[in-house]
Amino acid sequence: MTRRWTKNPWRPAVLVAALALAAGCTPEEPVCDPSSDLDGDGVDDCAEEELGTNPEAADTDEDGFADAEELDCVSDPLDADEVCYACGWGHNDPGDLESDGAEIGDVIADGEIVDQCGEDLSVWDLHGEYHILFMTASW
Amino acid sequence: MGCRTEAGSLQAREDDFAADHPDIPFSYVISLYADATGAPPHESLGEEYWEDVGEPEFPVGADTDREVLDATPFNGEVAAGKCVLADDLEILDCRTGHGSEQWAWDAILEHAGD
Repeated sequence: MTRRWTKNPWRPAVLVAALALAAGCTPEEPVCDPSSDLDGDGVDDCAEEELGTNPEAADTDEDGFADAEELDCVSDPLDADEVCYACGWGHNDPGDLESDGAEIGDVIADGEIVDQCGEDLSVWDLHGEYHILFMTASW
Repeated sequence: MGCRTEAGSLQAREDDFAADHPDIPFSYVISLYADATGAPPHESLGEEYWEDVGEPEFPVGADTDREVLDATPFNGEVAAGKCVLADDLEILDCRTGHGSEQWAWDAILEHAGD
């Protein structure tokens, strides 16, 4: 008598679904591929998913700077009003600062100077580094 | 020492500080609140002054609306003012005039816990 091989009801697809449910997610949830960069902007699809940028658009906020460029120059790839400074400064404004005055011990108020590249540099973008602010007339 | 002469020496001071304290991110910022006649600075003054003082790597800018000046205790009535900003943008100390900046370095090192 030959023994007939019965097909295992736990087919791979069923097993994957069961594992996915056990892990708290649905099997329909797309899984990003870290080796894929659909828009070729230098930011892989998984990183784009995490950042909230569009994996199918090299310049998500359409401000003329590719997502990878903006990440390199410390600029928000989701904010069209924020682009890389020509002089290379980072946009380090943490966004939740509040100035409490103009005296020693206070957080300085935000203000802008026109830098050597002809752009408005926000004082709050200097956040994260120590500075000596040298204020003078041009003599 | 005049303002322009001192401004031209700041990159070397910054480099010295970086060499001695590589873990403390630091740079100067020159903010011009007036031109050589005392009039409000025009927009390209930062670039012109930057070229005149040896094209340093740190920001050199024209405070065209005196926003930066008004954000500090310095009132611009004497030749130069210096304020030390912490990494969280707290004004740690401010002094006027030229010369030694030991007070500024001390404020930075104390705040940074060095």
